[in-house]
Amino acid sequence: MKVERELEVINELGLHLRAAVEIAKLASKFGAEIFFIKNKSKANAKSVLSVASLAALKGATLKLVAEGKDAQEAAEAMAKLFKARFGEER
Amino acid sequence: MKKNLVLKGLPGSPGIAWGPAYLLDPLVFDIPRYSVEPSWVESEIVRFRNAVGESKKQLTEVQVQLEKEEGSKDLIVIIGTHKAILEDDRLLEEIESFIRAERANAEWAVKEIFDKHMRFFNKIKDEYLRERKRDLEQISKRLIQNTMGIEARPKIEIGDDEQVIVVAHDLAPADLAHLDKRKVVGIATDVGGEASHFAILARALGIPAVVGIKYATRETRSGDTVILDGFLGSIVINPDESTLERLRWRKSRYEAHRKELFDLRSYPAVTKDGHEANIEFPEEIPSMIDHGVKTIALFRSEYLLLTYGRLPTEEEHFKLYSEILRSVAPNYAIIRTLDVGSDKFAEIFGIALEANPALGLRAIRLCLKRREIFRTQIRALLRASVHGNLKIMFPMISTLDEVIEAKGVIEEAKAELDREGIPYSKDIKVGIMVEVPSAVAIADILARHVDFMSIGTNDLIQYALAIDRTNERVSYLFRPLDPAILRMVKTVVDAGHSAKIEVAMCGEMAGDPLYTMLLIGFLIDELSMTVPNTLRVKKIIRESTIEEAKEIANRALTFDKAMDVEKFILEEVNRRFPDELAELSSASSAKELFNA
Repeated sequence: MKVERELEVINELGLHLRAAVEIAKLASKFGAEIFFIKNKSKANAKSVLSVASLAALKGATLKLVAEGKDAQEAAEAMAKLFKARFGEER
Repeated sequence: MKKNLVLKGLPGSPGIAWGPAYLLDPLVFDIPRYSVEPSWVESEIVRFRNAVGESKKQLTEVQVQLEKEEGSKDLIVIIGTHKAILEDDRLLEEIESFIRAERANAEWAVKEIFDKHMRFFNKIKDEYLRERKRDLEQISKRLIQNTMGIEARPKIEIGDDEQVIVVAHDLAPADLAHLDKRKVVGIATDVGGEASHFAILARALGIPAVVGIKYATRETRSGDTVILDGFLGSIVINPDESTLERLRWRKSRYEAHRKELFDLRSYPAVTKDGHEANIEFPEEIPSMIDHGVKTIALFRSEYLLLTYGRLPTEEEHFKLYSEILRSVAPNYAIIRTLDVGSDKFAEIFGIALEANPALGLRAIRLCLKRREIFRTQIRALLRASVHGNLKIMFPMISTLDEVIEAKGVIEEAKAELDREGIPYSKDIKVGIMVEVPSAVAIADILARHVDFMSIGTNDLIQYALAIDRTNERVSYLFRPLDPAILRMVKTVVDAGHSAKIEVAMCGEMAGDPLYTMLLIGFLIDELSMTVPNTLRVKKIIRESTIEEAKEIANRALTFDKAMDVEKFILEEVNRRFPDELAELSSASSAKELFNA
């Protein structure tokens, strides 16, 4: 199964290291392959470095592509994490 | 022993501190690079994995230790991110594949792959995210040390009753954890920016810090007395006793004042984009109270090259310039055409490296040679001009021919736009930077061909006194108050005013309160400076009269030696503004203060 979804970065600092860590932690819980696409860059959601390299600032929109049995759950969980600002206050 | 040596860096964490320097070993080591026998490849991988395990263990130990300390929550989180990178399977696989493919030793593979990722971070526009390359550097260093079996933890033994200024090449968050905060009153580092994790943590811990000093570890010896100004980002090594004494009793007053200035820093739109604010001087000084900072006196268009890492397109130029012009309209913005040479952005321009870039094919010379690049910028400037009040400034003019030729390019571009039916403002002022001695000598001639002139003191001092900026052995010659410089400034201002055009000044001298009265006295029409300096300069201007400023300027011209001028100016300013001109006002004035 393949799921695509647009996610907006709404926390103040953007996808900095700590946020990337949260993303990779969550992604690793799923069997599905999860990628983020921003412009021409593609990042593996399970790799902290890869996600941080996207340099996504507040307001950026990423395309999430998840493929695998639990793709749907993965996409939803990821959307929640973005919405929760990765647990940051602002 | 170095005396009163002033080193400039960037403000990392506010506050003033002094004490004996405690130098942290920079731990410089060579990273070995060799190919291993095919049968050894797997054992290299094991060595690498062990190092990863060891590094994670060390970081965990630091975290555990920190749990007991109050206020170290941020630090624990940041160290956690370092650990998470060491758990990034993709990264680890990448390194292992490199070991296999190249039959590389583990250290080499770690360095190679981390360097690759760091190069990527270098290109990131956002300062905060870009600084994360420092984290990668620190992680890679720890990993390599552990691969090589080098003790990764810096040895820190500060005496029980000692309070020191720590001087280090770089401080990883984990290093910071090893420091006993009660014994550290300030921190100075060679590398790093305001957004480095270390600076953020220092701010959270309330330890004054200066980062990016470049030569801090080279110039400081353990035990040297160091004064550190975390507001303005400078340190002074071995100040004399009387200076220290004065600082002690003035510290509280000074800090309150500096706090006011530091808070100004939190307006990112003004400083981050390389915008500089300016202060204008109409005939009557008091009226400038109302003026405040409204115009942009110098926008360095090289910013675009930094942003894109390549030559920007006409549209990219256009977009930025339109934005800048709109932001200050109806006030003007002066945009300076590309000021680059073979020392900066050589790759982008595809120019060969030069033995002496300061005297080479740079700035307007380069633009006139690479006409298509220049034309693109000029076209974009003209198109953007309808969005506000644009002034164009050419850097590093040394002959009249260059002015005529550069203005010719503007005229050609206008004709082109006319043919294409694209509008542009009919009233664009064109000016030049006066920063080469030949331009000073013919300032009267140049003034007849331009709408304004701006004296660029940093370069002018360097060129006039023949100082190689990269050669520290001649840096003592860099004195803004050298009689040669004062005469040149006066020559340019007089030439401009005879031709009925305005003369401005940019460069550090313009923004240093020590020189404000002198410069007003020379009747300079406009001083351009960074925003944090405006408050202090403003204060001096508001409390001076033009008559006394003129008197100071005239008397300054009567001295034969730089030292005598410095003494005179210092006395005059100190007498009028004893509080304002605190010891560490800025590194340049501090230097004069300490020399006086």
